[in-house]
Parts: sequence; C-alpha cells; structure tokens
Amino acid sequence: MRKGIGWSHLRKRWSRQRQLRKPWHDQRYIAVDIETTSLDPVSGHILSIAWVPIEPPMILINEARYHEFQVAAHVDLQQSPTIHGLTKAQLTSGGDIKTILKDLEAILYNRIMVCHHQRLDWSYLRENPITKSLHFEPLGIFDTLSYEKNKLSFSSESQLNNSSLTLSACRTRHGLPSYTSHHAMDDAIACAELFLAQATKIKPYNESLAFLLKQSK
Amino acid sequence: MDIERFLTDCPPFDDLSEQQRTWSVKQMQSTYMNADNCNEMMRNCSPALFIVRSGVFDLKGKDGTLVERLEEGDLFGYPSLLSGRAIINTLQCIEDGIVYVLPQVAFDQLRNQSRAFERYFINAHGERLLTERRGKTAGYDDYDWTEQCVEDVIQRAPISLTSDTTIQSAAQLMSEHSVSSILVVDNDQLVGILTDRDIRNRVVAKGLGFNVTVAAVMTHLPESVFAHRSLLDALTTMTANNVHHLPVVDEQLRPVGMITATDLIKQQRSEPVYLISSIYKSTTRAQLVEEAEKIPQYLNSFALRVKQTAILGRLMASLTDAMTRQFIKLFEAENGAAPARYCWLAFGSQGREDQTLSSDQDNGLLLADGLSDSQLDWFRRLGEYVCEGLHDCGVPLCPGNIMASNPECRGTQQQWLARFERWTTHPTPKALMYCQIFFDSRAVAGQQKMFNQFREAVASLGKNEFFIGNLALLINRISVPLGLFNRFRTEDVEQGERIDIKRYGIALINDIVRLYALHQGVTEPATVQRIERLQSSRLISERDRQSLLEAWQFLTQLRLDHQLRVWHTDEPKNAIDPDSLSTLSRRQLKTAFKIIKQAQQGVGLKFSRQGY
Repeated sequence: MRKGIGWSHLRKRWSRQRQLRKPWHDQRYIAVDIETTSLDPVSGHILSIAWVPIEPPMILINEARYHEFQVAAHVDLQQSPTIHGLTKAQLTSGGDIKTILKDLEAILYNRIMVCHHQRLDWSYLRENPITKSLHFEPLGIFDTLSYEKNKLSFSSESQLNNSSLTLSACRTRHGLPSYTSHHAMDDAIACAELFLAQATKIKPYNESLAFLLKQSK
Repeated sequence: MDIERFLTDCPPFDDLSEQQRTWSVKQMQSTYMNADNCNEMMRNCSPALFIVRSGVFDLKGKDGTLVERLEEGDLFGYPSLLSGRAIINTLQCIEDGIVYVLPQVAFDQLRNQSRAFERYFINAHGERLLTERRGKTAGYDDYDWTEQCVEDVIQRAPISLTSDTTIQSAAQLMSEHSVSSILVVDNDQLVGILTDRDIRNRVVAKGLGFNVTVAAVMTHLPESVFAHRSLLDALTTMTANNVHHLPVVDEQLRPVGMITATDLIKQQRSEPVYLISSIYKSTTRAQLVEEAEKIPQYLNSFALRVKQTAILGRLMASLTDAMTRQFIKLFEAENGAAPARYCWLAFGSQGREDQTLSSDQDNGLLLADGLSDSQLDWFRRLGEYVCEGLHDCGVPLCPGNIMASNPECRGTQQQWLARFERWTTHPTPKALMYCQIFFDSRAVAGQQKMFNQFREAVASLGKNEFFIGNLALLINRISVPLGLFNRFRTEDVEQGERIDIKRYGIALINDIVRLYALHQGVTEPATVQRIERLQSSRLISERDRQSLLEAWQFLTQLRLDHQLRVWHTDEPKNAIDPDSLSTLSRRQLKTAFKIIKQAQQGVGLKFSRQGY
C-alpha cells in the first residue's frame, strides 16, 4: 500500500518537474481575485470571487467566472464596504459558495494560479473554514506583486514602499490602463493583464515555467 | 465591469443595447501585444475584430505605407471579417498594450442583431466613415423634407398650352387634368402662367368673352424655380413673391412642371416659412430688425430637428437674402424705384449659401452702363442703407469692406471685369484672397439676366491657367492640422489647444472645389452644387468628389454643433478642442483631414505647374 502511494506521489512529482521545464507560454494559468470581509483567513468571509483563464498570449475573458456570495446577516462587513465598494444589499444574491469553490478546485488543478499578493488569496483558499474539504493543487503560484518587487529591487533607484506595489501602481509602470473599480472581476482581469505584461518581457521568449515561478517567489 | 464601461464609449458598441454589450464582452478574449508578438497574434486570431484598449500600433499596408495609427478605442481587422479575405496589413508596435479580440461568430451575430453595428462596419470598410451620424433622436430613416429636390416632388409631365389658345379651351384643358394652374409656353420657352384665379378675376369678373386669348390675361414672365433646387428654395421664392404656383424650369429655362403651395404643405408643414414670410411682411426698418433678432434662437431649435446641416447654411442665406430684398423694398418706398437696371450681388458665404451665425456681410452692386451722377448717388445711398440695415439685423459688417456701401464694390460689368482681370493677371496674395470671395457670387435682387451675363464673363476670366495655377499654390501653402502619424496638430489659443476647422477644413474644401469649378467653368456658387456639377470633369474622380462632399458635410455639421454650444460665450466660434470630441467624431475628423490633405496634393499636382 505504502509503496503504491509512494509511486503515485513520485509520478506526480516527476510529471510536475517535466511540466516546469517547458516554456512558460505553453502553460495554462488562472488569475484569481477574492474579496473578503477581513484580512484574517480563518475568521473572515469570502464576499466575491472571480477568475479568468490565461492561455498565453490570450486572456480568456469568454471563460471568466464571477460570483458574489450571500453573507449571513450577523456578519460585520468591517471596513470592506469602503474598500470594495460593496454593501450588504449587494451581497444578498449569489450562488452556492461550496459548488463554486469546487469548480475553482477543478480548474486550478495542474494550472498555475496567478494573483496579486498571493498570501491573501491563497491563505483564504487553504485556511478558511469553508474550504475544509477542498484541496487546491495548482501546479504553482505566480505572484505579480512579488515578481514586481524582485524586478524593482534589482534596479538601483528603487525606493520601495507599499503604495508602489499596488496592482494599479504596477499596471501604470507597465503602461496598462487604470481601472477604477474594486470589482473582483476587474481585478482578476487586471492581474491577468499585468502577468502577461510582465512575462512577455522575459528574454529569451522560451524561458521555462520554473524560471518564471522562481522570479515571483 | 470595466470592459463594458469602455465599450460604452467605443463606437459602434455604443449603439448596442446594454444586454448586447454584456453579451459581446462574454465572447471576447484579450491580449498583451508587443513588438515581438503583435503580427503573429493578428495572424493567429484572424479573422476577428481587434479593439485597442491601450498602447499604440501602426497598421501598415502591403507596401509598408502607414494605413492608420491605432490608439485607444480604435478598431482593426474588420476588412477581412467582411470580405473573407486573409489579412494583408501588418502591425508595428509603437507602445505595448492591451487589445481585445472579438471572434468572427460573435461579430456576425452582432451584425445580425444591430443594424447600427452592421452599418458602421460597412461604412468603415468602404472608407465611408464620415457618413456615420450620431444622434439617436433623429431616426436613421427620416429625411429632411426641405432638402428634397423640386424635381423629385413634381409628379406629372407639365401641362401647358400656347399663348394664342382661347380661354375656353384653356379652362377645358385645366378641368380635364383637374389642375388649378397651367403653364403658357411658346417655342419651348415659358412665357406665362394662368391660374383659376386669373380666369375668375380677369375674365369672368371683367365680363370678357370666352374667346379672348390666354396671352391677354395670363401673368407674364412669372417667377420660377430650377428643377434641381431644393424645396426650401421653392418655398423662399413663393413667400417672397406671394404666389402659390411656381413653374419649374430646367437649365435651359424650358418648363418641366409646376409646384404649388399645396405640394409643399403636403411634404410637411414647416416653420421656416413663417420666419421668412414675417421678414417680408415687415413694413418698417425697426420691425424688420425685430424679426431678425429672433433668428439665432429660432435656428437653435430648428437645428435640433434637421439632419442635413447644409440646409442651415442655406436657410441662413435665405434669411439674409430676404432681409436684403426687404431693405431694398423699404428704401424704394422712401426714395422711389431704382432709376436704372441693377443687380444686388451676394459673395462669400452668403453667395455659397453656407452662411453661419458668425458670417459677416459680403455684397456688392452690379450697375447698368452710363448712369448719371444722381443715379449713381441713388445706388450709393441704397448700398449704405442696406448694409447698415443688415448690420442692425445681426449680420456683421465685413472687415475687408466687401460691401455695397463701398464705392469699390459698386460698378458696371466692365468695371467689375476690369478688377477681376487685374487680379487674375497679377495674383498677389491679397488679390487671390479677393478672388476667392468674389468668384462665389449669386444674384439676390434686381436683374437676374444682367447677373447671368456678368457671371459668364467672370467664368471665362477664371479659366486662366496661370491664375488657377497660383490659386493651387496658395491652397498648398495651408497646412492641414494632421501631424506625424496622423496626430492632430492644435494651435495654442487663449482658451487652450484648438483646431480651426473653418480655416483648415471647410474653407480649404471650398477653395479646392472652387478651383475645379473655375477650371471647368462651373458658375454655381455653392460648394455642394459645384461638387455635383463636377461630375463631368475628367480631372476629379467620382470617389474623390464623394469624399470631399462627405468631409465638407461632416465639418459643417461639427462646426454647427460647436457654434450652437458656444453661442453667447467667449469661446472661439470656429475652433474646436479635439479632446472634447467623442471617439467617433475624433476618428471622423482625422478621416476628413486626410481627405483634404490628399485633395490638396491633388490640385497641387494637377494645376500648380502653371503657377509662378
């Protein structure tokens, strides 16, 4: 028995290694954005979630998904209404969160998750009580924020502070248009565009996925 | 969502319903285009509609020439969507950016669902973008009735008889065809008109016999209208002369039919009639000025309802014509009838009938030969009276003093021709500028025949190749405000960055068209009619004529919208801020300037070799 598990585990690792050696643009990615009630992934609630597949060089807006969730009446929205522009009234309609997270689990399998500031989104997917029975197994995670931070710290004049690494500041640096809303769907697409802007600039063009992921650690 | 918001201001997606827009976003993909991937991407995604969200790309033709610089909100790829042919253009990336891709299936479905969407691409593909019109209030299918040609409204062949017919047979013919008026024609020429009323008032009431000839009771040499003129012209002539039946004649003055007030009422009741007729009904100078004061406000409300702007330029000219005629009438009432044959001339924008609210006066007097000093003095006082009157009515005095109040602008045919000849043989820049104003002339009052003779003689002077060559050089000295890569070049004025669309647009087209007209001997003053007349010219293609016409119409519309918006403010009346325009208007303005630039180069090549 143990042997069997070991083999399957090895096979998985081997296939992952092989996948990581392939060029970054031969991979499939999912840009994810999650809006929450709090920074704490254990006590907080997911308000809305959006994802959009990326198959370089295309962002598949036509396959994007977006969901808002019903939040129990007792939940305090804390500061999030001001941040996300959401109010309780807007949160009353939505789908079944478990079904939707199950869809995300399926689509993330063997793809690379892309987000801006992964610690937050990823920690919700792993630690929030609602995801208890789910196992998110992306091939890897590309964090557009970390990537940008690493790039910038290479250049000498970089005086990094928090505001220079927001999604919109990074986008401006790459000459991307500014989106004003804090809608999860817009943020997911914005993040996907930033990812392509970052990755497309990597030379040589056929650089491996492993290299790419290392850059965003 | 952001993309939806973006499409709301991106023609033709702005014409879709909200539901259709949401649907189209769900069919889209997007991509980050840069120098390395843009051409491969375009080939792999085609056929598809590409929408530039950010970045700058140059679309290059097969031979590497710049077709279009693409920036935020610009579309490309649709020619192969529509024609089914492979893409031949290539892209050069100037600045990386996001491009949305809408696949063929979705594009076709939107074309099926939205007529506006379909029409936009058909026009854009045929480089007919300038015919796109905004304004959802005016339906796409409704037309402006006053713009219709007289000949399109007159239905039946002319019913006519000769002047030696008896009244009885005339009445029989009229009742047979159930008409209330009939044309009197001798040797193919219109000699008179006979109406029910004439028979009642001049025959029956007077107790004349039924055998009296038509010639004895008809109205001799009645007012008439050319078949190719608009219903507005017919209307103006009717109200000016207080008649209800107007013979319609062709170019050779042969009668082709009759148009009646009832025909016009059938087309639609309209207010210009009331405004024009109230001007003609004014019995004092003060009353006339009072009526004229209503024009700007009236024009404002009228402008919202007409689709073709050209009509407004003509309406303004008609109003100025009406005021001029009425002032002449008032002057004659005080000072006796004109002591000799004369013709009141309109030049410049009034002559061309593209007057605006800010156009100033351009007029003059054509006088009979051999007038005595006292007769000349009568015309001097007439000139002063009318010009001052027009000024009081809100038509500003001409800063260049091209007005009948100026002795230089009153003269016999010979005197006028001598001036023209001096200008054409010694074309100083100032002389050339005068020519451009004086060649756009029209008779407003007095003897039409005198004017026709004068105009023919002027036309033959205008055919001078040396002169035309110099005009072509002059036209080419004006630089169209499109800079490198088809970007707008604005001028810094007090109010900010502006483009003078009169100087660099409308006036330039007028100049170009006038040049062809001079060469061809076309005597029509109006730019639109000149373009029509140039059909027979071998020097300008059908397509170029059409493009110039559309550019002219677009620019006059743009100017009108602008003027109505800035009226009563200090904003420049002819200069616009390109950044304040909608995406569609900006695209159209660029197209218009491109057309002008090409036309300018065209006249340079065709005519300027003979210049100095």
